[in-house]
Amino acid sequence: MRRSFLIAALLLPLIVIGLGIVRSEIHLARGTLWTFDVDGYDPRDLLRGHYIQFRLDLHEDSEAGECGDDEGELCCLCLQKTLEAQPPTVYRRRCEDAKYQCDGVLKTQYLKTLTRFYIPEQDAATLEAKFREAAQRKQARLWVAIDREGKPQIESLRLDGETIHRDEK
Amino acid sequence: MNMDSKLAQWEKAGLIDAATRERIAAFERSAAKPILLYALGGLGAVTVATGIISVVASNWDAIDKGAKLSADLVLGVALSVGIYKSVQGGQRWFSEILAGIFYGYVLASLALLGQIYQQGTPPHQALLIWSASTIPVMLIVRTPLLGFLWLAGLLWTHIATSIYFFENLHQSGTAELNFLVVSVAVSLFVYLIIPRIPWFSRHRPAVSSTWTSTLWFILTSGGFVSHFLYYVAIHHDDRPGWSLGVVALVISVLIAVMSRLYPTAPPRAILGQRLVLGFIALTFIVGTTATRDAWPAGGAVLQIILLALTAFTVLQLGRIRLFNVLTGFIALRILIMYFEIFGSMLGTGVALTSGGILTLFLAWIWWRKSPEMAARLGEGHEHAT
Repeated sequence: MRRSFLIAALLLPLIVIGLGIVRSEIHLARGTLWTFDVDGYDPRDLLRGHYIQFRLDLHEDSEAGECGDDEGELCCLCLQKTLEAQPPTVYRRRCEDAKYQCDGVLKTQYLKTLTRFYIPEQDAATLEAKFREAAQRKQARLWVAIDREGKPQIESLRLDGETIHRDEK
Repeated sequence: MNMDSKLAQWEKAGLIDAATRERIAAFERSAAKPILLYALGGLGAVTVATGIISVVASNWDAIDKGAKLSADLVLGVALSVGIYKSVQGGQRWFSEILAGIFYGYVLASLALLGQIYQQGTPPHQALLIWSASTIPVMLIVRTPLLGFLWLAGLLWTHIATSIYFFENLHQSGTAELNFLVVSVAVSLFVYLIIPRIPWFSRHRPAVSSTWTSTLWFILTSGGFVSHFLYYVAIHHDDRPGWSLGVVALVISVLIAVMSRLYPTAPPRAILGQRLVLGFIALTFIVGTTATRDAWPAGGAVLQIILLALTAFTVLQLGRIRLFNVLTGFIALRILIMYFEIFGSMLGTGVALTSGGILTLFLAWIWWRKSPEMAARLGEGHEHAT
């Protein structure tokens, strides 16, 4: 086996992993932070371990919506800021308009990526119970960094104002 | 077989002299591969890789993000250096083991990124990145076990991606069915061709052989399962349509190039492979082209014919144990068929009578042909794969 091929073969996966880290860090650093109410339950994933499965509670103003799920990537959530650290007002706009009319834009095609939050195995049961209680009191909030393209990345999950991924901060 | 005792028997019978016996024993000792060593090493690599994935899946909490990622990258670099040195130093056993661990490590690292950065992306994306980025490094592996592990990873990625694709296709039922049939046919074509690429079969014979055997097993098992289609009625909306033409084309090409794909296989084995492939395609096309009622007896008979064709093929390839297993399956399938078609007294009687006659006929053929078969098996045919 040629030396240069071997080196390239071994470096390729490491470069891919490195690029994954860089891309995620850039997204978190440059994206705008938004918070949303969440509700949900806790299953587990064989590959990536335990996670809390949730549903975003967007408090969407459906009457003000201009587009629907059937329009796929053309439809965006228009986010309008409210009070500090509170969920935004949300309604649907076509993405081409939303860019100019809204404080923030979240493409609806990415909503399905905002459904789970990975948690440590040993704390899974405790966190699940905490999450359920906080969600009932509307104190479970997902913080999401959204970039200029309207693509989200989860920053943290906060229950009663406390970040549950304490070591990640 | 115990080589030493056999050699002793041959010497005692005057077939070889003491010097020849010694030369044969020396040759066999030098040619013997440390199979157990490789098998244990492969198993160890798979276990370590699974362990790394499992540790990541537990999402351990005691270490912060930076330390986790740093440790992950350090482990990756250490594994890479280890593989590089063992390949350059000609330490094949180590390079195999480390490549197996590295394969699992890359998947675990992508899962770790998913955990740390809470990526909600569907799993097939990580699997695609994993499979694509590890193709070059997996070209290092030479043993059947790691070759099988690699194929399993590729198939896992393929199936996960296909499921995601079909879940999000949003087409009509017939269009989705057509896409599914074409996807399976094209995949089959690609998977059967890849291990027969000259470089692959020449430089990685064990991996190529493992892939070939596994893929033919999947193909014949899939064909066997596809005959259950005859157990249900086909309605107008269930018919795939244009994709059956693609299936016919793909299978025709494969049948045409079969002898090129397996140049060392005996001609009768090639004939058997062509018959198996053609039979699976033909029965699928006939079974789904027109609307029809359920025909379970037909499906069962087709399954028996497929098993018989497969048994014929493996016999030509000299795979005696597999041949015996398949004949056992044929007997079992015939037995199950009796129970499947139990119904009215008349139906049961006719089924048992005709089934019994068929069984007796097969037994008679077996008895008549067994001396010829035994003679042929004694010739020691060359393995195709």
